[in-house]
Amino acid sequence: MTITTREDEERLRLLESVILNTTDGVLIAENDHNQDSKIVFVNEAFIKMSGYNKEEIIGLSPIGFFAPDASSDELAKLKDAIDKCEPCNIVVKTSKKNGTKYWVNVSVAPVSDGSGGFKHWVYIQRDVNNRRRHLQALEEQNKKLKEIAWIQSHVVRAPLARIMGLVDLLSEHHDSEELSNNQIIEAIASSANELDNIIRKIVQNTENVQNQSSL
Amino acid sequence: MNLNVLIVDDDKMITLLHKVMVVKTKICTTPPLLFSDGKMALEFLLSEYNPEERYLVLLDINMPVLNGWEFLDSIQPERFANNLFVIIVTSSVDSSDKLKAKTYPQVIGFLEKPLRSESCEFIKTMPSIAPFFA
Repeated sequence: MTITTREDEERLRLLESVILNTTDGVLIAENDHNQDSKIVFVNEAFIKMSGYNKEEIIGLSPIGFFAPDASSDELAKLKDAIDKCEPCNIVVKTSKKNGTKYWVNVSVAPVSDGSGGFKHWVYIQRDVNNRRRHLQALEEQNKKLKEIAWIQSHVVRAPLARIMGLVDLLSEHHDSEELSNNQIIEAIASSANELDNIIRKIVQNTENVQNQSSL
Repeated sequence: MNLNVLIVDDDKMITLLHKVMVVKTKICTTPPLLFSDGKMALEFLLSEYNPEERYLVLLDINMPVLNGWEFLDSIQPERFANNLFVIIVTSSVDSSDKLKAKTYPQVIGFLEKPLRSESCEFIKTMPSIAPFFA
């Protein structure tokens, strides 16, 4: 055994340890005769993530693995990249063995065989479920804030506009059969109460949004 | 020629206030007609509309039954041609409402509530209806 070979072995062992120890799920698929490919290697992280054992995964088609839950757009993107022997990156929903759905980012890359052909594919799958949930929570919060802005514009200004108009009338020493000064004062008082209630409701809603965001 | 004023707002106090304002500033010489939602105003126009007359609608946006936008969608510009003018009078200060209002040919103005003496004087200078006050 030459020194160079030992160095090569050392390098290979290091590279292998990356695949074995990473928290990203790794699959290696090999092209078969039917222009499809089958999984020939799966790392521990993928087994843990998916809930399937090694025997259940080896031999499967990787596309078949993602097909049941992935959107047709993402699946088409993956098939297209495989046809063209190009790398691609997709975000898909997938199922664990126990049926739980979760979101993963999958990057797929062809591996050159050194003589211009591609026989193997590497699939690296990262769990993005938490990120996805955070994003959904943020979108939900944005929606609530927009609702609050809408209430401010439409609902808060309604009694306020009434008060402004009524005060205008009073200050112009208006007196007509439509509205007596006493009626105007009563209307100002009830509008002020209405405004007070609306503001309390907005504060309540805002507190609810804040509580949700701290969960 | 007289300008028939229709005040469309679900807030009774606002319709009264606006009535007092348009009478005081002489926007109309006959008493304005008050409606508490878009549907009632639309029904009035569909049955009482007279092509010899001119109409000015002071229209709120946020109303039950038929809101301001639905009212605008329901009045066919061909039928009322140049005889019907709409000014949106809303408590909203939302700029998207203002932009949306511009997409309706009948809308000649967009004012914030409450209508004050100054806003009524401003209405009288709007080009499409200024001749009525000359």
